[in-house]
Amino acid sequence: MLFDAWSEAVPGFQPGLDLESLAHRERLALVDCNQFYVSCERLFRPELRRVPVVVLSNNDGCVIARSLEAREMGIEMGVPWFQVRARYGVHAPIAFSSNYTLYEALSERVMASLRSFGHGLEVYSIDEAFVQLPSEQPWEIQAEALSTRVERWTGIPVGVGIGSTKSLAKVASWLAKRRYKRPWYALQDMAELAEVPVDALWGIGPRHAIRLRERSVKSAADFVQLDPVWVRKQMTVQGLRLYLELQGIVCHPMQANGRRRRQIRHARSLARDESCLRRLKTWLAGFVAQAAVKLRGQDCIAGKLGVYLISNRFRQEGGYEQSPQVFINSRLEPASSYTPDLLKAAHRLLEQLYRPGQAYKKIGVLLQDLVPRQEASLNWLWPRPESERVLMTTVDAVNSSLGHQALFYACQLGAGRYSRQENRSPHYLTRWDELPVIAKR
Amino acid sequence: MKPQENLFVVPIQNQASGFASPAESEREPCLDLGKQLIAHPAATFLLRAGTDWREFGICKGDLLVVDRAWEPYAGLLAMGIREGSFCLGRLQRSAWGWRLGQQAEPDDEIWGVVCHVIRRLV
Repeated sequence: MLFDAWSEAVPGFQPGLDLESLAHRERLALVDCNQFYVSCERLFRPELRRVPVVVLSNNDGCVIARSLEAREMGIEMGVPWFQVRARYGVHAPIAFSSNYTLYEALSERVMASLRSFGHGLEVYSIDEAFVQLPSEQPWEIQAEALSTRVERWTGIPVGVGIGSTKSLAKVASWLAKRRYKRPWYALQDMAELAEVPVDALWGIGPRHAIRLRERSVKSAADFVQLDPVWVRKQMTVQGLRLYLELQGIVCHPMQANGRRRRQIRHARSLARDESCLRRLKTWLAGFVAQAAVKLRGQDCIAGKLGVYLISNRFRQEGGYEQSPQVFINSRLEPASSYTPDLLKAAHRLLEQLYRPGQAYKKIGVLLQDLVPRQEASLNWLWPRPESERVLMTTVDAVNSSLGHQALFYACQLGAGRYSRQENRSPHYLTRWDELPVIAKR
Repeated sequence: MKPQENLFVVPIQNQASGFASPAESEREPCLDLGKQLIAHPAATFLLRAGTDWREFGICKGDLLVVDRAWEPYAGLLAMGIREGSFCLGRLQRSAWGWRLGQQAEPDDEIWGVVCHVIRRLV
């Protein structure tokens, strides 16, 4: 049992190897941007440096990012903006609609600054990356160099956590932020795991946290004392990987070109609640088309497509319970990246999900089981006509040079603007007519 | 460049059909203004001047190329933050580091070095 578990969890594990020998001698740094969206909004608005700022979700619905000042005011992540405004009135924080164009452009600059060191880099999310550190220099000096350069070059402050595995780097980053209140921290020895509560660990959700507390596992140090067989049984292979990573055994190796996503999601809140199937189909068509562009951009095809709908949770009586989300997916036969195929499948699923009379707040599409097109084209049972690929390449090329949606599908017709963005900052970095302006006072 | 971007290039035959150009092996890439003006792409920001700064030869509407990675030295034109808003000034050495201009204040912050000013004349 134990052996199976090891070989399942640890890449490169072989019989006869003992785990000690796999313990990692190198160091990884987790670089993550502090309150990334807020920092982006503040970059060209220096007057907002010390005032509470929040960023709202699509449609200005909920708070998705908070400055430290907003956090100290007691504003929670995810609360609806209208509640914050009602509660604080004129003292409510400055709120920005989300400006993903700006965040993405700054994220690329942050990653480029990190890349300029020439070390291995894995972009983990829009505001986090892992950096492989060479062993010649002391870790502290490297951590400081990383954080100084990123902040100096891009104006975005970052925190750096250093450990021998990704999970330990994450622990170090947590210690830096929450415990030591400093920009970077290198994990020195395992005794420090006692300082870290289990629910702060990477990938431990509230459900597992409760179960662990029942077994009086309070800190990360308690967690690594558990029986691995129990961990595997109760917390799946993911839990076992965390367990091993906290002991310095790499289960999540660095992925150099890690931006190939395992699934592609495109979902948006609608500006108004929508109960008309025809209009929902129109919205969905637009999202499918955009997801398909991303899919082809990474040269993959999707094996599965899913659709989900969320009905309006604020219209219902009885407070804010879990949002009533419905999801359905089905296999694409054959796997495809051809938009008309995807549209057909998505509309069929939507018809199954849709309940007349129900008002929907949010709709989305999920592409799953992505495989590189090259690997899949060996499927001689269903050879895809070359013409489909050429057509899609052409449509994508027209849209990328003449502007988004220069060409679109007829079933997208009739969709207006879907999002309400009352307080979006300019696209400072990507549009000539929205450049930041500097003026004498 | 991605291959598909070539779709809009009209396929004119570029090579001479008669005699091969004697200059072919000497061909160099065209001058790229972006590369010339931007030394550190990740650290360079473009801003628009909203007012005249006669003392620095800047007019309203000029495009400022501001490089945050540029190594500072005395006399460079730099953009900074004073009392919560952007300002321009010449860099000067002081006891506590770099400062902007004569009437600098201790909590001024240097934002970046203005490397180029681009003015549209037509």
